Amino acid sequence: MRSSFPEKIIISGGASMSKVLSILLVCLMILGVSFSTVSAQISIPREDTVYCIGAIWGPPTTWNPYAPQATWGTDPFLFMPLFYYSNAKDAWLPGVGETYKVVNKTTLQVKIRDLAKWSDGKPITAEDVEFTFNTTKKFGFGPGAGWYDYIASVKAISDKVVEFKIRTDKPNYFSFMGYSLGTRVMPKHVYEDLEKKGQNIRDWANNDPAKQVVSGPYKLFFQDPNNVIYERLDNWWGKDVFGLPKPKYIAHIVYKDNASANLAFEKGDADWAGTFIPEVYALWEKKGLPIRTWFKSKPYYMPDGIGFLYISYQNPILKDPNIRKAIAYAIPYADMLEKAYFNYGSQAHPSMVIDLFDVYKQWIDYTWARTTWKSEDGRIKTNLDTANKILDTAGYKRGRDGIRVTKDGKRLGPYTISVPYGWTDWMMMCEMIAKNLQTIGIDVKTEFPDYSVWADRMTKGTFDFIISWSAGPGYDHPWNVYRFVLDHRLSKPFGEETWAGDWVRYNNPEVATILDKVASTLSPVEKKSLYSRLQRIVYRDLPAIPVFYAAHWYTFNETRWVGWPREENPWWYPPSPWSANNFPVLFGIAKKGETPKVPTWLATRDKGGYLIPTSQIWNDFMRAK
Amino acid sequence: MWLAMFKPLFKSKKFLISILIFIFIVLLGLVGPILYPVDPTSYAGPFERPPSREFPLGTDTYGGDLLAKVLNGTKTSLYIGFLTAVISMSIGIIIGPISAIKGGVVDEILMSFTNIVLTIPNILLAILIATYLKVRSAEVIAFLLGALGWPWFARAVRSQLLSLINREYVKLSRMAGYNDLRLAFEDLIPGIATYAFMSFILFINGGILGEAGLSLIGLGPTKGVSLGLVLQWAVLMEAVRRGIWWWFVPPGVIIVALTSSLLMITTAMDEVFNPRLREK
Amino acid sequence: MKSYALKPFLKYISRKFIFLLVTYFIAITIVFILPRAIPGNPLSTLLRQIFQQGQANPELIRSVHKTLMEEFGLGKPWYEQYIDFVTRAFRGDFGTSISSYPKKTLELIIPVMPWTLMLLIPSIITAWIIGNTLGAIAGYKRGSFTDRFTLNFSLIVSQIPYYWLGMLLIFTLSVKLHIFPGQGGYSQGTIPTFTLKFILDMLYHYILPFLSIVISALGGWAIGTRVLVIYELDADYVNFGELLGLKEKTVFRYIFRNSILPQVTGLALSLGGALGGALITEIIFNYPGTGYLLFRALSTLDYPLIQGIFIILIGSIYLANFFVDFLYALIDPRIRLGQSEGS
Repeated sequence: MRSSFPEKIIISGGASMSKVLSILLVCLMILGVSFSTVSAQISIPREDTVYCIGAIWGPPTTWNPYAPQATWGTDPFLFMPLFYYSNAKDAWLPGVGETYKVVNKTTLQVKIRDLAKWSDGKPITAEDVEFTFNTTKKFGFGPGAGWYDYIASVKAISDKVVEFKIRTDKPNYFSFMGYSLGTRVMPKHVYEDLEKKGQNIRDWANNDPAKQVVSGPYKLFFQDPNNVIYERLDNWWGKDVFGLPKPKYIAHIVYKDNASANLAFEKGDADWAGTFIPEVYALWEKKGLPIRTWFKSKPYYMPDGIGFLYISYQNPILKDPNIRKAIAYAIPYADMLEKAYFNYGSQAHPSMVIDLFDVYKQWIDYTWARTTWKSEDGRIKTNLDTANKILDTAGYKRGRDGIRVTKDGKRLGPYTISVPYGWTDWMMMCEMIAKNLQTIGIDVKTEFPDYSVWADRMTKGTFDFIISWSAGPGYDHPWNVYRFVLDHRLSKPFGEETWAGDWVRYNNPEVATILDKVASTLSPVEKKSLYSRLQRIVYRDLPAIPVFYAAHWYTFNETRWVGWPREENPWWYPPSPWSANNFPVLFGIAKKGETPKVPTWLATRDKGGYLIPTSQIWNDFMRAK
Repeated sequence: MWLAMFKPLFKSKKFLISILIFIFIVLLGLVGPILYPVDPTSYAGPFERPPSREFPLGTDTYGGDLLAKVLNGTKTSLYIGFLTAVISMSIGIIIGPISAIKGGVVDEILMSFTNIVLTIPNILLAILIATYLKVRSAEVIAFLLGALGWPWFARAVRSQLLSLINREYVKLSRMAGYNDLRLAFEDLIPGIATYAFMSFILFINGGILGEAGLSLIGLGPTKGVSLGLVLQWAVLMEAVRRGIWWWFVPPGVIIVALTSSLLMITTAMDEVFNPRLREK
Repeated sequence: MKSYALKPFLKYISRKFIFLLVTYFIAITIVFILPRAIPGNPLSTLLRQIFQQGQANPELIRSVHKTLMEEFGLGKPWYEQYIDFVTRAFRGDFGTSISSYPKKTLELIIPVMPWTLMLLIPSIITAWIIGNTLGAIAGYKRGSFTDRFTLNFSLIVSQIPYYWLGMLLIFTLSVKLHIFPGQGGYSQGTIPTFTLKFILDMLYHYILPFLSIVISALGGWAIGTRVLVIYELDADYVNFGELLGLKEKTVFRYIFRNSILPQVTGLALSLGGALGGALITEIIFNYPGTGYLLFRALSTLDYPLIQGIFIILIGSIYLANFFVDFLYALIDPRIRLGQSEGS
């Protein structure tokens, strides 16, 4: 078969082999040349650069907030809002805005700083603000998306003063304040030029460093699929107001996953981390590295949201509050946090309020919580006996296999508890919850499908049990959480997809009424009593069970940059690199060897700083006509 | 007859060593989990401890017992490999002979189909299909790998059968009125038995390595433990660059020992049964 | 002679070309069907990211949801979508990435392709040359110690997955001995330029992934060529040559040339597998190539990007296949002289 033409192959083979090789050589050369198209730049000095991890996980996209997914850095470094919000201080820091004025109960005016300029030298004006809001409305997307539900009008009343009017048909002061003050301002002249050129604004990448027009202290310096680097503008308009941020460059390498990013961080190749790091405390306790999180000991991180155990109302048996209450007692909160979560975060308060922030404690009716849950701070103490007792009393008898049955003989299960495959910490939590529920006679098995399947069930309400996220701290907390978890107006029928909220399909018109009242009232006393009413409903119906506070991932390595905010010196919060409001952090850190100085403007007005407490704005509204 | 046929095999040192290694690993997978009855999915231990008396192969980032994971993973990987081989083999053993015996249009169609599956890069296709599979059990992975692995075997079976069919005794059977099925089973299949056996072993290797590859890019089984999944988590948790060797070395060693011992078995068999390779 | 040879050659080449075109078409069709055969919202990952950025505000989410559904609109009937998909694919438009919205998938793939090609092509060719040479020597010196050693070595090495060898190399040469960098395509903080300094840095990072592919790929070639050489030793011309008293070196050269001929086609067929392996090796080394991008696309379920990567990868494998077939036709006189290929 093979040896039929050997001689000829030999004769021709010699010449052809060299042909093959020469063709291969040509291919290699083509490859080499294709690399030369990569742009020419130099490398940046490590000591002038803050390297971040955990904020970008894929090739950078655009620096245009009107595109649905602007690259990290666009929010915190390039474009400034009128005011920045700090949830720990519950205060607002003026950005391009300078002062606010409550004209009457429905009107708010903001004055823009006279100094504020775009990086091309044009002044930042009230026109820019008006343009920003209108453009967002036009595209349904961009800074302040969704503002038109709360704000009736945005108008430039002079060069530097912009006026916001609340929608009076369904007044919501939280969102009115949040949208008016917190929305980033875009350069009108740049976008108008684009439109004139026929460029579709949503597709504009804004990725040419030479052409970027920004209001913040940084500008894009270099980007490719693996790197994003920002460079400080040394002639930034705000240097007389805020000073200059300390790092000359801010860089983010796109790592493959958490672990490889964490490794770079541990080695000192990165300084500022927003990632989940397993056993983070070992880095300073065992390895002695100059690394820290917000807290030096448990729970290490500040909370950034509430992880809930959602129980869908689809299954008629699981609607029974008795079962839900028994489940709430059966969840092994402390064990779960220790084993699955490295103690990052603590058990959530059943009121759905994040009480690790002092400012939010006022909204919890502790007396009622203590009465209901019979514990010191009103948290639910894991107790399988109590859980069993509740089920016994409610008439759920155990069957032969140990699983309980309803009065009409229906078995409690099999149900599934699910999170996406690969979300290890949550997977472990599911295993532990399922085990305890089996013990109290509810047949629950874990299931870990692909993320999109899980998300599909979650948003359609077609699950039994899931662990999932909700809203977090903010100027509207805890209203945002109650609304997200309980407001049936955000929901849709079973089987129809909704991302907006109320995944369990809890339907209680009373809740909706209370939520609207909370949003429209200005009186803290009334707010407090309304929240208390909500808490009574939540404890009674248990539509979803708050399990743990998810962590605000923020870790810093002080090998090269020191002075980061932390528990002992909490000069700014939120401090994570991926937070849109981390602007002040870069002003207060210092190179190793230099003494870090907390900016003086990070004090409240009465102490010589710029900060305005949220309560002051509320008071102004209350006093207004 | 079979005994007499395999007897020369046991004279090959290579064959003996490799079959011993293979049996050892199979025992690890089958008996290991019974002798070391630790739940591979529980997170009982301390985090990332090196091997110790309590945890002979150490623990992973979440306190999982790696010995338990490796033992159970070996079992799953063997199972996937075996199932993959059964599936590939069944498809090949149907398509190859039909194509050879029927000839004509049937042959044309079956062979173009085979060539198409052969040409579409099957690792890529497996990745692509696995991406869209929502539940990936060990069986699903095996089925996927098996359903993509058979073409070279079908082609080889066909060409071997074609050369057999033209031999005298087959022609005689045909004249004696044997139908296709009987022809295939009585005259043809035995003629390719050793080849098929060796291919079966190669398919097992394909299954084991395929599972590991799929797992490493995050498309492995979504339930249970396999060697590929242990490696995947080692990579995800940067075990390599963080020096946690006890996490990624043992599963790799088992994969390599398993597949290379199987490959050695086939080479040894080839050397014994293939007259052209027999040493002079 | 030339005109005589041209016709069968063209026939052979055009047959191959049509076959590949048909197969490629089938591959594209599979790529089209798969995501549509499965329920679930491909945008779920994108929507989750909005939650993670701490902007879980129902209005924003609703508005993003609506905008994106329109953008990726799947409202058209399937056949229109299919025609649209295929025509756009042939124009090089594979749609918009979800995770890197609004970037086109092609914009994401093109910058990473050179890295993968640069890793894959030199390493599999090196492995092919070394493996075949080793195998040929072993086969020629059949039964010797060299043969046995080469065979057993190749048998084991051929079963080491690229990626696991990569892990071992990183652990020993990078983590323990600090000889080579253990990850990335170049040092952190340097920016890709066409300067000598950067190229040296790149080559330094290139060595380990290159080695892990070469070492584990050469075993297979060595095993195959060894057997082919052994077969070839029986051929008449070898005996004839020996009788004529040709030098051993000359005979070996003839045998070598003849026996690696089938390995040329083998190279084409192995490309798919080698590419798969290289993709995973890239993931292990955090090497900024296609595998890295694919990993990212898979973990965020960025379906358009996954599809784009596959269409391009399968397409380039087919191109390579065709290229090798072309070479093969040039080298193999049976095709040139108009005999049917194979038997």
